[in-house]
Amino acid sequence: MFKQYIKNIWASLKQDSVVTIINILGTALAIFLIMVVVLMQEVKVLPFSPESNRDLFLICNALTETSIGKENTSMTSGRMSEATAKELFSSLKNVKDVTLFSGGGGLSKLVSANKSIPMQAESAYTDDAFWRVFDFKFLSGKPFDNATFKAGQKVVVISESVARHLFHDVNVAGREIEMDFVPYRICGVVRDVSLIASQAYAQLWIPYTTSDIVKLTSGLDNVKLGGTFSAVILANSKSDFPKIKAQVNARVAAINSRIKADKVKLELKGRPMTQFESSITTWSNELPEPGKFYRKAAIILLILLLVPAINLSSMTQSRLRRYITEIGIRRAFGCPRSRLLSDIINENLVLSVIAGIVGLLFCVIFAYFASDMLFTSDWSGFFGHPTVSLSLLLNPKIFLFAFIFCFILNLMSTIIPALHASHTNIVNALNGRTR
Amino acid sequence: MIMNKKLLKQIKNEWRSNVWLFVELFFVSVLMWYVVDYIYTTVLTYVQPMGFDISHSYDLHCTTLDSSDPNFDPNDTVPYKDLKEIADRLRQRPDVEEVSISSYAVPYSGGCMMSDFKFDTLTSQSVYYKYADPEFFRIFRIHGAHGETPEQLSELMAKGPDTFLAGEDVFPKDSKPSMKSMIGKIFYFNNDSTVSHRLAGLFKPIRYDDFKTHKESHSIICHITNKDIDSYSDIAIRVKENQDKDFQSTLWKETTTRLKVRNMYVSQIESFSDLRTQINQPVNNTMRNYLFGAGFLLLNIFLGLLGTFWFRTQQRRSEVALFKALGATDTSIFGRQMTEGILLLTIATIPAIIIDWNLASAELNTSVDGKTLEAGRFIATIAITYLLIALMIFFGNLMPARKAMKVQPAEALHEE
Repeated sequence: MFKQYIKNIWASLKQDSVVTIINILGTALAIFLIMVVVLMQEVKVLPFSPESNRDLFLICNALTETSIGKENTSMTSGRMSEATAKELFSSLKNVKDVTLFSGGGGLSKLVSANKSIPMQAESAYTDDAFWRVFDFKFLSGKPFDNATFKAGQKVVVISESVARHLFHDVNVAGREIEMDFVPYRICGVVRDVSLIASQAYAQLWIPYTTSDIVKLTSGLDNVKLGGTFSAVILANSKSDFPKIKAQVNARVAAINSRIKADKVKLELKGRPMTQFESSITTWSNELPEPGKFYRKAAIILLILLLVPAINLSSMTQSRLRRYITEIGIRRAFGCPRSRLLSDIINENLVLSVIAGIVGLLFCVIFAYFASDMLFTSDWSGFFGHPTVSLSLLLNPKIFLFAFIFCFILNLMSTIIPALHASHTNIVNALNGRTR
Repeated sequence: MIMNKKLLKQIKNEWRSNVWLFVELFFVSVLMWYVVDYIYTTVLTYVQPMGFDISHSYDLHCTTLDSSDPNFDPNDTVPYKDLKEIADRLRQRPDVEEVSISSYAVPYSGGCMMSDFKFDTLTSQSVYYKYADPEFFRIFRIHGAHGETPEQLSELMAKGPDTFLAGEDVFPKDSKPSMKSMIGKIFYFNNDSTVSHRLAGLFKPIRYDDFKTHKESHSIICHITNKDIDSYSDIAIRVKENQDKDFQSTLWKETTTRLKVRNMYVSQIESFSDLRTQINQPVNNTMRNYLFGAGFLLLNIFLGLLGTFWFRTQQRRSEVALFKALGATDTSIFGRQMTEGILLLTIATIPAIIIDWNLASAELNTSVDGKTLEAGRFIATIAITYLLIALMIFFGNLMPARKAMKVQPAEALHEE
């Protein structure tokens, strides 16, 4: 059957190359843009190094303190203090690892090495679990271990581009750099991290025990739960998520009963959240709202499908009009309408898939080379690039999405003309009339 | 006109095949209008004069050492002295034209301080309070409302530590007393009657950033005092012309030596044009999405027209041949086919305008200074939308219409 479809398409390509090509181009264009839209979201969710375990992440990047039982309700939200983060997330059951770190938000350092031009680099303060939760690619040296972390030794992991700027070389583990005029020993060099890896991203990673940020607290009144820390939990499996969340909620409740006297309530607003929930949540006092996200996505995708579907419908209808006598003959020899309908739709599906492959191919090439243009977030600062690897773009999920949209587009653009054609009166059809 | 009437009849007769095109044109017209409205208003704001000039200018930020730092000097308690010394050292560089210290004042920095601004019974809400030294006017080439040069504004500001200058549009033009008559008068900020400020002059309005209108950018510039200076203050530098090359990297080289004063050091050096790119990112991202959307819609119209009319010319071969046989010229055949497309668009645009109008009335489109529906803007955006789609119809129809033109009457009629 499939062979027959190909034959038919080949015949129509020869007979009416212009329209067939327009048909393919129209579909390819639609799939191209739909997949660009899909990719802009998917890169925030699909796993890639150093966030290869995104599926197993539970992320907590904010807390909210609200005053209760007072005339003027006040509210503050932001990251956690180290103490709060520890209280909430240390030694949880059913987890593989938990990392506490303080990064992003313009934590930059003036970095220099012997005789090099100093530079400004974005830094993150991390613990040693950070290197187990995230899978960085080390080009030289290795991460700092628990003993180094606990001792508060002045060591640093630097990114490839920082190493190249300061030393014109990547094999620099063991050498020394100055950060804000304090000497640190480089213990490892990692491959540059894409800005899209929003948790792991930085250019320098330092044990947080070397800094005073552990003491930094902020928040309402005497209850200072806020600070600069985020936590990422690496679960053993997705099925453990509810168990982990329940434990965290119990700990929140414990903190709340402790701070009740201060008339302050702690809320995590849906945190810790999955990678997907995190990708659709911008503000620290915002609950993840998948419903809202899906509604917005549905409207955009509907527009992107509907316009080409109307377009292609018009062409399919004209094309079918040509074969109306053929349809009439098939009907006269007893071919059921459902068979005709499915033949028309299937034949078109083959065409759509061919066009879809072309569209997806262009989309991947475009995303790879124009990643800055497509993936730069609204507030990304001066450093880094939202690069994407080909292995990320060629994820099977992307292909599946492309095929699903091809299928929907094909159905939307052929169903009405096909119904119309298959319901034409046999005598009229044999006469070449469409009514 | 007669031809159009005939065409209308033809469109009506072929309504079954035209209905797809009509629906598409209607749908695209509404969507396009929405996108065009955003782009139109954004571009119109973007091209307004900024009121300042950021060429050859750089923004420096300083940081103080952490108290846990081994190099920390506990005796250094006055950050403004360190900052001023860093500014003085920069001033000595031969490639530097001017250096200014300011807080919440430099363009594209993202930081701001807003409050009411009052005089007598007049109140202007949301005015940007900027704190800067006299050099600020020279660096950003800000001009006076009455033709003063940046140098003259700078001198006005230098008259005393309590002086300030205001944008000439802080109060409406027809307000009484007029802004001009306020020059030399004493003002109190934020109901604080202990500190008086003297209005020394007016400057031509400066906008907050590329996408804020003048109305959203009302500002005053106050003479910066030592208490307004902290480590978050900006040091703005204008370098001499032709000295931009490698300026940033040579400055970075000095950050660990000359540009470190006691606990304070330079931690960020950015050109203002880079700051601008960064602060514009959200609008640029939205613009990118809309431009992609617009391109997509237009290409669809192009392809749809091309496909549908290609078929149509094939179907109408004999009809065209007959026209030709009866003396129609190539141009008239071409014109007829083009008019058909445009006529279809015009018919689809009428209901689209009604929808557009309702969208704008419901304030669902872009709001500029709180307005979504203005006669001039509405007409302009409808016209642009119409023209863009018409252009696509023209290009989409070009090939089919040419094909129709080339029909050989004898052959086509013979085949029939």
